[in-house]
Amino acid sequence: MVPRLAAPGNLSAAVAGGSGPSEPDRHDRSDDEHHGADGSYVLRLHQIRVPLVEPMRSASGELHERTSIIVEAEGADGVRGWGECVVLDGLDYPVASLEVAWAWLCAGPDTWAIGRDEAGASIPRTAPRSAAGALRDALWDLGLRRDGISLASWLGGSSPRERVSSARVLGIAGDIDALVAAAQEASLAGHRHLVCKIRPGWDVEPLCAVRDALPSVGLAADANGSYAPDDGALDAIDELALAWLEQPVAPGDLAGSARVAARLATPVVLDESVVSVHDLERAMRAGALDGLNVKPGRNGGAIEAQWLAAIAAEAGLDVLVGGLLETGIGRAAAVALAAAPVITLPTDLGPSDRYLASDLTEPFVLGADGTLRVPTGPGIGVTPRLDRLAALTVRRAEVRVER
Amino acid sequence: MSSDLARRPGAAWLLRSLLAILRHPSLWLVALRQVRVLAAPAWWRRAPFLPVPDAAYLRFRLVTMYGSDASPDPADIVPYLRWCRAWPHLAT
Repeated sequence: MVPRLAAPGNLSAAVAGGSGPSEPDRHDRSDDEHHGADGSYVLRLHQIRVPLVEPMRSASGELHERTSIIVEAEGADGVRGWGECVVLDGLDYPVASLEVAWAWLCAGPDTWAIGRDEAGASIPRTAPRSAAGALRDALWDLGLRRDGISLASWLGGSSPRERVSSARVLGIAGDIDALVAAAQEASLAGHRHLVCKIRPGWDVEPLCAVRDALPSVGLAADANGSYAPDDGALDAIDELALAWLEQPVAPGDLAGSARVAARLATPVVLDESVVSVHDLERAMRAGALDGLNVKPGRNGGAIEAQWLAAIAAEAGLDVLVGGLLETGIGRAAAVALAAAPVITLPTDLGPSDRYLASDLTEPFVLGADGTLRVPTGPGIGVTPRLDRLAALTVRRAEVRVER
Repeated sequence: MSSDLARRPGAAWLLRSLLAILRHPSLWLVALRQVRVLAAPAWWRRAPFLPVPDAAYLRFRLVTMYGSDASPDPADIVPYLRWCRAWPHLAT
């Protein structure tokens, strides 16, 4: 049942430039007979640019349009898998820059076998994680589509949710009336949970205004690491009994986060602080968190994000799946993860039309109950509309990977 | 690819990882399964003639898992194997 191209032998062959032996050397032949292709594939890269419906403002910066690298892996049998490499140039956020990710993906197997002496000087020796994760997601998607298995059931076992609760993220509006209006609009649209971006000087008053206007809606806040651990504003925020407070202090300050978590009754959820299991273990040992926000776009793809989520859940932490303004491709993978039983908090992934002026796939639509439907088709469960992909693409490249 | 061997975790790392696993008998079988699953294809035909992962694949996975191809903390192998036990179909 291992998806052929996602299995180590296959990906290993891809990473090593096709020099690996054939698949039957690794897996039971019965498994291989179950699959139909020879393991070669064409990798097509599409840099797209999508305008946002409105600018997204947070403590990390301001974003007006969304740039992504869409990774398309087409097997020799014509089956295609899709992944999305998140790019957030202009924001202070720990993902690779567009040019670094693009160069690594375009370089192909010779450079994916990082460490080779012949790697070009302009290519980072260490792969950009978001690009490597997108490649892995695309290969998993290809393998799952070939086997007719949905990513949601692959990640969630026998009981993935059919729908996931969606929390609307409200950016830093700068005007409380505008924020309250946006919150009310979100509530009317069906959202039962809201996450307000906050920063010093934009916190208690706007949160109180939203709470007063919508007392029955679950309210959380995301500080993007903008507070000092001993900032008195955090105590005032604690009085609001939020559902959670995300990343209150700088990502590297686990001791500070532990002080905040010990002082506040509000659950502290860490996001940027945890990029690996090693970080998670350190954060748990420090008592720095009550919950974790995992993001496939940042954490090395859907499988690696599931790894983090499962370990956090096993330790008794709450877990939510966060988004990075992905198109329908990355959004579908993240929603599939959000459907897993190990995820306990509402996702901040929203309906496509809330964020993107145009999406690559059929849009994710918010239900009247504030939930998103989890795709159940093979792989990520959605297929990009090629006409839209062509219209939004500003740069293309192709890499052939032979067995 | 001579540099690959140099990039594999060293003997000290392997020893510390082994000791971490030995403290958890319930993970021994999982560890053996993962050795089989992750061993480089036809490892017996090529140096170092041991069932270790292909160096390029190992680095690739270290990047997706950690964001860097530096050797992880050997203690991380325990939560990894627990996850492999719970989610064997994902542990490739």
